[in-house]
Amino acid sequence: MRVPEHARQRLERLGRGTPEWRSWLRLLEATIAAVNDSAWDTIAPQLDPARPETAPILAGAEIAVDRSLGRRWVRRLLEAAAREGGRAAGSLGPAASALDPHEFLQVVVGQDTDALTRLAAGAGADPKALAALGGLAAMPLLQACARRLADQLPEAWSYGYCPLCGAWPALTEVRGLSPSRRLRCARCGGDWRAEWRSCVYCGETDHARLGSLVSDSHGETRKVDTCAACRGYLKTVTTLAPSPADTVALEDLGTVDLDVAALERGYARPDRPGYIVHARLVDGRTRLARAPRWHRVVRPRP
Amino acid sequence: MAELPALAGAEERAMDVTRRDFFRLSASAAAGTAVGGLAGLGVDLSPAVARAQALRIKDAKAVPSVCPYCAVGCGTLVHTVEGTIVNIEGDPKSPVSEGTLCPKGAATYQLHVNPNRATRVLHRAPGATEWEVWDLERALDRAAELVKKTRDETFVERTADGRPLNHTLAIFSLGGATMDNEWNHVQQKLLRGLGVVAIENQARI
Repeated sequence: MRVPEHARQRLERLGRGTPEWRSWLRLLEATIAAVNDSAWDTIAPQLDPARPETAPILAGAEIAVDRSLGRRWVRRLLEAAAREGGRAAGSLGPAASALDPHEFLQVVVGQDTDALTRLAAGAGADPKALAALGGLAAMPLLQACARRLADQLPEAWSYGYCPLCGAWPALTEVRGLSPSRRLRCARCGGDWRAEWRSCVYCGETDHARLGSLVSDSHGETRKVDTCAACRGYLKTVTTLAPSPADTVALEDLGTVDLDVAALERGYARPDRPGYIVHARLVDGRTRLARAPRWHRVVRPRP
Repeated sequence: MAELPALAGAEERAMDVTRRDFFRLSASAAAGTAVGGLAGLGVDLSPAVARAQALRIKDAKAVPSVCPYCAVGCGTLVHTVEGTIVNIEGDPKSPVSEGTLCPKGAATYQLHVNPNRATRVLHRAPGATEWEVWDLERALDRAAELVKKTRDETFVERTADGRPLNHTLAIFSLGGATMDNEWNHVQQKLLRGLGVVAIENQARI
């Protein structure tokens, strides 16, 4: 497993600028390496054809994933977090052995926060520390799903949450020379078009209730969009080209000062996930073993 | 423009913000975001808070408007910070122009802030070499007086063979593109009422 060059350079820049985040950057580095591990490409998502039109495509899906692959990844991430993390991460070490990795993955992929809280309580882990790890833990699986399902994503998607995994966007990219407003998901790398001047969380379009937090140094090119109706905020960066899927989380980290500025002014991201997809994880090997053997050729007896 | 609180005491404030706000992030709000990840794992956010305060963040608004120059009617966004216009650019939401503006439209900001823009009525009398600053009311009265005088002197009520005409050919109205629909409607009514037939507007492509 290796970290691609574009991500490595970004990681190094962030490490130089924000040495206090080294521990989190090491976890991100491990996650990006896992995202680029071809072992995840063996997953087999089976979509629910009866999902509502408003649902992301993973809603109700059954995803076959090699249980041992998931277990190895979750254990490694939890142990690394316990080793590297801040003061809240200490509880994650013991949790690494108490937690069912397959269930944990299923919960974080589906963004089921109630189930995550229950899991944390059962494993004796700090719920917020476990939630923080959850975003990273889900990335390899979700980005593999995004690669596998790229041709099945809806062409037009008018909702604020990710059309693949249902998460709220991490940030907006105002992209290109004839700019379009693109929302980016840090979990699956999702990239979908959004209406200009509308709140992605509550749909507010009244310009009098929408605003921005801009800085002297960056102006409109790096700012926070705010909504007075729901008190939500979303970061916006101007870019010529899209960030690769595996580095959206790094762009999110590189703009944490904007999160802080928004939080200081009383804005917040929504309390609930955009859409809880309730995807079900099944053991890939088991499912494949049970699958009908279409390849078997029955020869007629002479 | 009003400044944000100074950086003095920022460290103390940073600690407060960390405790009060970041640790109040719900598990859901924390999941999947960098700030949530940092806060969730208890990473020290004080340097980030100090950096955020150094950004000198201001509240800005973007008000949709229309370019004043020609009949295309390109959409503009007028950006204001605390009530002061700081920038005017193309509105990407406009179905007419999709965020683009011509060079003249792109310079609309200067229509508002250009220090060379005339903001008082200047009058140069016939034969004079200097401009004289006039009061707006006086200028309007003078324009009305001349329009009335010209119209009365040149008004043709009937043709030579006695058919009603009611017009004057001595006055010509040329409107600018900054005149909106309502203004043009009233202008048309007024001038037709005076008998002016040469009424034109440059706003056409």
